[in-house]
Amino acid sequence: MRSISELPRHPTEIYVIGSGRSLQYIRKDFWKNKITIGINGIYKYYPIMYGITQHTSLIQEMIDDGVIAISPEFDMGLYSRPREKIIGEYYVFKHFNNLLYDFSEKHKGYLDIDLSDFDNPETLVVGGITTSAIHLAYRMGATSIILAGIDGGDLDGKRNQDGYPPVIATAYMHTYEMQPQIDLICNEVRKRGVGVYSLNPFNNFRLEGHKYEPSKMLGAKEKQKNDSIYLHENRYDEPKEMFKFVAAHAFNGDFAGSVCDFGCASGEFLYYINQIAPSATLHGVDCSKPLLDKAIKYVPSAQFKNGSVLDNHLLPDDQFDTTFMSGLLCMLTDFKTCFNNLIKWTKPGGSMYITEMFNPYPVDVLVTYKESVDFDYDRNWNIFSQQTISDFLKKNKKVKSFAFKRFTIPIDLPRPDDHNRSWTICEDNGLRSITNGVGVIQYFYLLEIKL
Amino acid sequence: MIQNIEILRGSEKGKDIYVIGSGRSIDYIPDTFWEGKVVIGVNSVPNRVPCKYLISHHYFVLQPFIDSGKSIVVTSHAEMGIMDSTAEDWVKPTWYNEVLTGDYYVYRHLNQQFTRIDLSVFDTPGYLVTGGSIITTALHFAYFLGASSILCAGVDGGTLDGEINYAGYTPETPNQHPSNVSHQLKKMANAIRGRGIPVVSINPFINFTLEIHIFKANPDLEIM
Repeated sequence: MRSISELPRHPTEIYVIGSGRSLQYIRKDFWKNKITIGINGIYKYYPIMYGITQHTSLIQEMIDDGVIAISPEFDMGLYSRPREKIIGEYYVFKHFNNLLYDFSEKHKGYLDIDLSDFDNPETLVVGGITTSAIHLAYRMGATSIILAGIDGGDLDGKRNQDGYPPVIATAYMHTYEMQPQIDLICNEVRKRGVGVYSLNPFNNFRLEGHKYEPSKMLGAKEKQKNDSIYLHENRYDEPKEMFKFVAAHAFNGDFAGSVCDFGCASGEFLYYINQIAPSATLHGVDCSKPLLDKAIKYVPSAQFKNGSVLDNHLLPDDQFDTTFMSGLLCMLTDFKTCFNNLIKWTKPGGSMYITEMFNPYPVDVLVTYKESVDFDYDRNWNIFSQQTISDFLKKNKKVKSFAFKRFTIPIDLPRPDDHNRSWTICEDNGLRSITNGVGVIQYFYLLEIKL
Repeated sequence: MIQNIEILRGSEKGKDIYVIGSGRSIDYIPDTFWEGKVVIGVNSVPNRVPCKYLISHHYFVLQPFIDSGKSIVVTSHAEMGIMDSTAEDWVKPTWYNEVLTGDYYVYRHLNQQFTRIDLSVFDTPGYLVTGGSIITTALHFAYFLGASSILCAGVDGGTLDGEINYAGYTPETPNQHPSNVSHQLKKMANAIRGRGIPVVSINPFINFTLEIHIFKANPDLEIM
């Protein structure tokens, strides 16, 4: 057993090879004379140089098959699982306790990775093994790291190359959850001047007619899932009916004041405001940096801030003439801090427009939910009652008036394949209501608050 | 001196060869990536990426590259690949002696038809296949040089974040290529793959989701 610090350095391109479907389309000849790190059982299919795995049985197989095997010090990276005896030489790395595989009530569904020991020559970052493999490539001196078969989704409806078996029988497949970890480790490597690219088996992004479907980020936290939706959606020139409804109430023609959209995501609403009120000074706040990066591209005239609406110190008081927030409140349990901050950041005499599900009945519905393949009920789909919100607003002296205005969508939304997206159903009174895979009827209102 | 391209056949045998187009994705690959690599750039790409070889059928872009000597210049027997009666005999060309001076290589080709490629001369000495885009010919040239693998970059087939070319690119012609180029590329790539050489591409992003970037394919015309 040797330390990874003893591994040779390869100051050249290093390929990190996963088991994604795209590998199916790369001829084996391609890998000749290349420095390759294969993940888990992929070495059985391609002539790779180094194999990395967290699974004890695979280490032994790699050694027996003549592959240079690399593994965390503990089985599955878990301190509670000392490594069983391995016959033959292999390389180990030190690591933090890999809670990804701790299925206890306390940690199940754990997805974070700890980058604080990134530069220690004997350690690798742990999480999904791809994360460690990318770090290993960096550690071995790669001038560039090229990912192959790390697809982040399905190609022609398939996740892996033909014949590739799951490495271990687990109650769930976690492949798709790993993308945020991969993004993090790649960015950490890039910060240190090493480029990270991907090998596309086709001649360009058109994929020679093959169909790619990005992962739905199963099991990822709600915000990550929403990030994925908005990052890959592009509706800037097809504004949602809700946008039109809100803007019609907020603006009467052009508007020369300052506007902020809290939870602006990829800036689609700001983009729309920019069309109908080009004199407005635009601002956007969101806690997702990738979404803001996209928003900046599409609404370059706006100023964006990365942060949470629950952060009291995020902005100075009395900043904006008009503030918007849409579809964010339902994710929060602490509605009071959110409202207090929005009121604080809006100028006296200004207006606030909050689009959300507000229960017309005097019942606050606090919903937590999960995808069936997840462990943790850690996402919210909360519906506060109009009564509760009204009682709260009446106590705030800065609030001059407020009103709830029902939003009824004027078009049918067909039921989409993705149950996280909304569709319409018809009520007895002929109005359309909105629902989604959570199975709750969504009574959407525009809450207009005058200060 | 004008030389027959046949002299270059197999001169990069066993190496990975990169074929670089002018697509926007090039801007996301640092220059250091290309160090030590065998790179074929098309048209003005050597202005953006250091290229060992330059291939173009636009004569007007070539002279500065021939003069600088930084790239080995390869061009078509007939300008734009369009043959006429005086250009049939490549040994005695009448046009490029007057237009281009210095050292460069010339390939023969069939009369270039921009909406289709004719693979019948794929294995004919001294010939490269032409089509609606010089990229098609560049792929063949990479094979001709003896590549063990061919890796495309900047051959995007559409726009990235609304931009079709790398920043600062000056188009050789005011018109866009015929939009069935993607089918021609696929046909050429498959011809090379069928001869045992992988043809892949470099994606500067983490995977097909392209991180935060938006790719939009060029519209297709009739598939030829």
